[in-house]
Amino acid sequence: MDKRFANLVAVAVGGLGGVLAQTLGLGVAPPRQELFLLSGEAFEFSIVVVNRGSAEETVRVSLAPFRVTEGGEVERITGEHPLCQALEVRPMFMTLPPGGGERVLVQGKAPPGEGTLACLITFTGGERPGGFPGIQLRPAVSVPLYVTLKGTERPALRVGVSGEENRLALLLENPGNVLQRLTGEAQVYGPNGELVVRLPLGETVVWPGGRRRIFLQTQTPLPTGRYRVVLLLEGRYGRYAAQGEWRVP
Amino acid sequence: MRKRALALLAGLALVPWVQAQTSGEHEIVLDIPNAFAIEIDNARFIFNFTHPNAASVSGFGSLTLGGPYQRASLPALLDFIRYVQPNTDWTFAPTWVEQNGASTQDNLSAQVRVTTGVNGNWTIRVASITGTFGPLPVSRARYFVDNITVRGNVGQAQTATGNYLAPLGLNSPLITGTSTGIGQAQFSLYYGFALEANDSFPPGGIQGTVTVTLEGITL
Repeated sequence: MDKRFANLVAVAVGGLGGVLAQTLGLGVAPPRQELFLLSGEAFEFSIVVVNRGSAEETVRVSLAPFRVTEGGEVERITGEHPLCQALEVRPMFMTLPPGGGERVLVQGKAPPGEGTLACLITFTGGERPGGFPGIQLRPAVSVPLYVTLKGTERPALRVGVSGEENRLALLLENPGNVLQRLTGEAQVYGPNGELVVRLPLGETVVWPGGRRRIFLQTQTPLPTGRYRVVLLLEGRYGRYAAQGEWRVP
Repeated sequence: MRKRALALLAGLALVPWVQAQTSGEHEIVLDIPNAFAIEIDNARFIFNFTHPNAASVSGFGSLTLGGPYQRASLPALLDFIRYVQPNTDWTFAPTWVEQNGASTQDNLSAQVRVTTGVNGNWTIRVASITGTFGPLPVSRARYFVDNITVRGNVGQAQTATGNYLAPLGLNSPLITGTSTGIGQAQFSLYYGFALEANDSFPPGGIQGTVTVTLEGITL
């Protein structure tokens, strides 16, 4: 049954882009996992990993704590981490034929702590020895696991909005202890209070204790002038609003 | 009488079964997961400075950066040694690129595709670099992203490298985006190799292979 499920998901993942010849590649479903648990509560879920390449792929699983930087980059954190240590992943190695997949089981117990804990579950393809010396590539795909400990959440958000010439700068600060996953829009109003443009903000994560700097741009430059900007954001922990000024030179 | 009553009861009991058989029913079960994938051309970038002759190229992709770039070759190495100014470096194009064992001098890039079926921030980054170029640091490999195309709702993809050759390093983000649905982003990934004026090459020369792991993540 597991194999059948894996094959079904392999077809689903494959259907997104079509299996391409002469490639290396890995796909996963789901691409991330968010759990809300009591400390000590057991959990279990599976990840289907598929080989999107044209040759057999040996895949190794690794676990690493991480954070997201101000610029939205993923940064691995060195050292021990309670969530990564609490995980048991089976299998840790697998060999996948082209187009083939395997269901990987992840089990664990929510560790003690507070707020959101995160661990990156990474599937890395194998090295290919041989040939001339040079630079070669290999694929990896990572599934972030977020565990938020129920009863310990302290959500908070500070937002700054300001126009910088032809772009709108948003500073999203998260002084709380939970991951903020936000969507929303910036509404830009002209001198007479008329709505000039709406700028959507795609789903954006802000790390606990971290911040994100986001830039939004209009498709066509705004005429010179002073604009009022209202930013409306929404996430799991509530709705947020902020406003600022945008001077377009 | 009793027999007739039992027969009637038995017949009544069969009615729902008969109805079920005649009407029939089908279940259609749907289970669509969120999915995410990275695909890379199986490419190996060869900088072969023992090659007897390799023509220079006007640039990598649409990036010229004041080129032309010489392909790595013995004449190019000798030119570098003869003409390089102090405290400067020269970046060379690959001598050729192997795609699944077949070499090409026309296409010097590897195509990288990210396919996403989930909303949110996604990124392709350099997750690990293994191997060495002997005494030369791996940052002598320079890379850049070009020809970004997007399809569907994968979002506007942005490259962090800009229009320049960035030294290869851990955690280097290649491209990021914010998906609002299903879609695919594709780009060309190029590598160059830099030699510096104060380099020295040990007896036996320098050989090395570096494996760059490109990691896809959706946050």
